[in-house]
Amino acid sequence: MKRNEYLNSLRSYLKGLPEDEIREILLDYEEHFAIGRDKGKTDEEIAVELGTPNEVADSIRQTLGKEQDSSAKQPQALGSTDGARKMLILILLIGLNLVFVLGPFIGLVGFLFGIFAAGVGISVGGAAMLLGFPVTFFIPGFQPGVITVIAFGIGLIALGILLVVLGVVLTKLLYKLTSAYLAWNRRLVNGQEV
Amino acid sequence: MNIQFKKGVLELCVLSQLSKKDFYGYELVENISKYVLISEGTIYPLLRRFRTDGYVTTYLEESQEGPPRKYYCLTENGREVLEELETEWNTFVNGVNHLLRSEVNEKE
Repeated sequence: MKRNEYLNSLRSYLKGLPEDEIREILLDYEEHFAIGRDKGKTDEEIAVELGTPNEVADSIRQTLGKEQDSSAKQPQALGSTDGARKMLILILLIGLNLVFVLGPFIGLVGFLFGIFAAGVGISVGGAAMLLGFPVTFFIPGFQPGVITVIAFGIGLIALGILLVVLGVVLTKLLYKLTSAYLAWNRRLVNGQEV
Repeated sequence: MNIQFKKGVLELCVLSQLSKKDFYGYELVENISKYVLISEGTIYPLLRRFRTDGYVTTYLEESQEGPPRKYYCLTENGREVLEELETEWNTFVNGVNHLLRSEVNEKE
């Protein structure tokens, strides 16, 4: 692997770290390649000795994890804290979601379902009114005006369609909010910047 | 060899080298990998941590050939950590050696 290829690959593995941090890290490895070349080594030899960019990035991330620990003044709790912290956040999130989020979420889904059902129901009602109009001729003492019935029928169908459209819009919105919320949860567990 | 174990030993190696003189990264890596099998790329992250923990300081120095080199210098704090690690290491090695030898003795 050539120098540039190696450094680019390393850079891509480090994505997510602060940009100036990445620049500093890459400088170290650039210097290493430069001196290695001066000593007559090929890029390939240097790359093999360094280990794969993936390995290097892993050990950098682990080291950064330790940095955060030591800045939190817990030098004894190395390594395992990251996993433990993840686990704790995961449990807290599951609790939070079960208690506070799941209920309202189900409520919202029910509400949406209700809107759809109402929309369809009202439309069908309007249609039935139009189609069923002739029947009224056979019911004694029940003679609504023709115009009134037709206007009501069309009005109800329109209202129903409007409700369905509203339902679609709200469903899309809920979908977006849900995926954003899930993504936020994932980021929280993975310990990246929120 | 167990990775965590090897890391601890590597820390000891790096600190101990730096207690003898200031090294630039490449030289340090070269020196250590002469004696211990390591992925050389893992030394730089270690050095970064040492710097944030205050075990080493760094300075740049021009070289006759090539780019300026970043030198690492052990601090007083780093020297204390080195002493602790070295004591731990010696106790550990003595203990393990004792066990190894006593096992041989039992067999004989």
